[in-house]
Amino acid sequence: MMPTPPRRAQALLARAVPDDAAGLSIVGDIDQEFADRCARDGPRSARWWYWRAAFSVWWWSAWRHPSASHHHPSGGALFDIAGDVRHAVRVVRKTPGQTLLIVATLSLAIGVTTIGFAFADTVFLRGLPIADPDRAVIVYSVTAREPDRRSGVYFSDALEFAARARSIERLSTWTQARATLRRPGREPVAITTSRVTGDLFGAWGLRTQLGRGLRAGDDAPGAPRVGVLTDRFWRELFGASPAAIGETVIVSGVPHEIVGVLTPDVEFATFAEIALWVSRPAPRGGPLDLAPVVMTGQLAPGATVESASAELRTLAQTLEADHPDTHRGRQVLVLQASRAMGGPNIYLVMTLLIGAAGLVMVIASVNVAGVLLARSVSRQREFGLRMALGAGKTGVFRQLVAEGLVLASLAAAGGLAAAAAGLRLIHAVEAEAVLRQIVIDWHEILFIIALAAITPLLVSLAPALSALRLNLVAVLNTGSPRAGGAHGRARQTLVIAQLALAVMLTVVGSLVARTASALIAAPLGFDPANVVTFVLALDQHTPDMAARRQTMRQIGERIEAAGRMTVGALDVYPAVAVELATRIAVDAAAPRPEGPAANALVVSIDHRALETLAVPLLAGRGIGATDVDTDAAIGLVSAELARRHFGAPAAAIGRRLAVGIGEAQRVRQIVGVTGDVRDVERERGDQPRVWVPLSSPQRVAFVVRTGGDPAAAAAAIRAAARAIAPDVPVESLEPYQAAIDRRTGGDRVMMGMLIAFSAVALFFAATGLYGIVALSVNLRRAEFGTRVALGAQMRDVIGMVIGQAFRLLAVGLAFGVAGGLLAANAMRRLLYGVTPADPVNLLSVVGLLAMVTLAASLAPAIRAARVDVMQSLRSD
Amino acid sequence: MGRFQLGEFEQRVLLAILRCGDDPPAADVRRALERVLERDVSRGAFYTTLERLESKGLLTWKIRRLTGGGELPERTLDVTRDGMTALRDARRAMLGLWRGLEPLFDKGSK
Repeated sequence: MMPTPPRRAQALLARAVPDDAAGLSIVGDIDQEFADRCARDGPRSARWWYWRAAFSVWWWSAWRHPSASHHHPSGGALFDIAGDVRHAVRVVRKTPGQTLLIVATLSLAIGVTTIGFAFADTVFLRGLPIADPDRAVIVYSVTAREPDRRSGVYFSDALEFAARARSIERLSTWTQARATLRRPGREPVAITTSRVTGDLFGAWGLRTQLGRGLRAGDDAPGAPRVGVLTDRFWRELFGASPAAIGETVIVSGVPHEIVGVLTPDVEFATFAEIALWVSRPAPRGGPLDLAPVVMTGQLAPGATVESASAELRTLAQTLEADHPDTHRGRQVLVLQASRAMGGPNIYLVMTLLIGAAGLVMVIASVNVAGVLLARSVSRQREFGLRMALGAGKTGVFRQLVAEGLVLASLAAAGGLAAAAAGLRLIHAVEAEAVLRQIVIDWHEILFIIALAAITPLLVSLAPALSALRLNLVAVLNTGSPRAGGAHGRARQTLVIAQLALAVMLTVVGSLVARTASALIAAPLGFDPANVVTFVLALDQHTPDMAARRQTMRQIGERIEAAGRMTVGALDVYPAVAVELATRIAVDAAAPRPEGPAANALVVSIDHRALETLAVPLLAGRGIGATDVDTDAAIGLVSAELARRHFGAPAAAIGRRLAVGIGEAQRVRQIVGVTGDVRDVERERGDQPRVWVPLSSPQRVAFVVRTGGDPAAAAAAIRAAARAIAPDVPVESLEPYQAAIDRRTGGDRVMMGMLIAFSAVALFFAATGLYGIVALSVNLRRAEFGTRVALGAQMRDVIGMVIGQAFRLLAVGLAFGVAGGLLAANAMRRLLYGVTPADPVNLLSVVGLLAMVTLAASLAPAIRAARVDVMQSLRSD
Repeated sequence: MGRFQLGEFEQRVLLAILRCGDDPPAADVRRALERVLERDVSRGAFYTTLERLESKGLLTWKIRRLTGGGELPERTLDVTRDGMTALRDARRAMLGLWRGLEPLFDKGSK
């Protein structure tokens, strides 16, 4: 059978050519050559050629030489659009000032909206590097008391689930861990590994570019340990050499054979930090391993998230019955991987961000619509003439939309530049890896194109409707544009809408700003300023605990000997590390804590750590060097723990506390009470904390309080580490504040963006308001002139103009505050230190808007008061 | 100055029609043009130019049904008397401008 030309291309061609024999002959020519090409080059190439030919004919007839086609009626719509656009370009060029204002407004709004979209795009659309994110699920552990607080599943439980669950296939576990990588003849390096059991690569569809991935059998307890490199570290550490495959490397003391290299698309969000994916032995039936792991798998065919949840819940109940003391109250939460990203608040945050960005776009469009409407007043005569000449209402409407299109196209280019600049600014302010994934690519460009396509309809609707209501005869007769009643009302409605939306955004933005400042003002409970951190994996240095403690102390002393520094050691950095809560039980003599289980964060410290971090000691004594060396059964508790369980700090001293669960449980005597140290995400509130002696150092988190020169401290740290533990690389050498900033970076960017969005909205509302007040002053010059002539004082005129602006504000405030309260209530969970309906906040929003209104109307008001009576009467 | 202003491409199209013999089909003319100019000739530009020349009265066309059984017609082109005049004027103008300048170009660069 003869191949046929592409149907859509034929349709395009048919619209472009005249509807007569000549037009048909053009189609005939092209069809003939299509047939020739099919025979010569094959149908695929011929169809492609046909598209090009059809497009060329359409392009030329519609845009380049439309006049040549005017004598035939059929292709009309296209040719008229071209004409409309050319006319619109002329109109736009005739008023460069106004055009610049409109394009700048829309560019800014498109830029803002695009940045909001880029964030959402990264979180929701691009998502995880998972082949089938709807089938992939992540399993968390939650407690009955805190169903929103997701934590890892116990490793032993995960292995049980993996063996028994039917509704989830390829159940695998993974944990991220720091490790020391050693290769013969090279300096050891500290890397992040991901330790994997099960067929994680299969469940997520991770692909290798070289060798193989981790497989289901790699986790068998006797199997040789294997590792898969990520693309980035394969390039950095192995120079992208294929010889890396088969090489044996030592990962934290254990030999692993490199069997593959992943493709770069895995390096997403926190996965970007991982250097090596290694197999982890999965021993079933051994002693309970209560270390938390992230669990993931793939829904079996026919299974749903609900059915999988139900099955795992039953399994979890069995486990709870078998191990009541360790598993009490533990439940499971199954989430689709596509929904699991970014924590429980991410949807709320993203909705807010996108909502705010969308509002900015709407406000800008309303603003521009107001400007165009004002302009259409002065163009009434032109429209009247066009209609009288037979353009018809649709003709005028089309022309206005074409003008909007030209403006929006310019704004799209400006918006792209604005979004790119905004993202560069964000990347400059926050260097967090996750934020660097937010980029402008074809998703964002398509988004901008879509926005630019919708905007003309938004901005041209009001002026077009107003133009269509035009009274032809009256306009042509008088020839003098006046502020018609309908026009005036339409513009007022637009300004009120802008004010209401801006008020709404300002309510949200001010709550966010209050939250941000409350978070900054809230004390962490220790002083991170001038503190430098570094980590040494001393478990890599020697297996002997006494020797490790010795090394730890020597390093501290060596650094302090460099002068004016104090050094402490911990097992984890409080406030910034993701700290895990441990079960505690208070002795029988003390009041029972509310609820069945009490948890506390447990941190191991040496005798200098609290002093170095400046954590205050409220009662009792601290941890001494001897406590560390003898592994004394003592502990310090935080004020919050003492308050909750003993009533007051002093009452806690001398009491006993069981820390941990199962075999790891240890009863400790409380010897001191410290102030509270808070997590940087302070909305969690004060969490009870227990400090215990760091008697079994593994990876030691050092803190160094410097006299003020971090560079000198860094040199001293490196020298000390090199002298005493040369086989262990120094990791995470940075100011404490840097780690805090990294944890809060994402939040700060979100907050900053919301605040910036509301500022932009407020600015647009102010210019919109200024526009309408200035215009109405212009139109009422004669009236003001007369009033002044009749004896009105300057004060009266100014009051009249400003009063008009404030009447608009009052209506806008009524709607805006109502909307703002609704939005604020929805974001309640994100607020800290301020309530949604905080009266001070609402009053300051009202005050701010009043100031903006005053500023926007003052200049026109003064101009109105200075109207020259004679001149204004003469000119009318 | 003649009555008709001819663009360069219009001139080329008219000349190509004349070179192709009596009443050549449009498609042949375009191919001839591509051969002589040694470049692709955009269909859009070509058909638009035909329309413009026709509206100026410099060429006419006839519609001929294809004999090969195709359902779409073919268009044959012919240069009108005005078209010939326009070409003659253009040629005269061009030759006038060239006259005396040949040595500059024949000998290559000075």
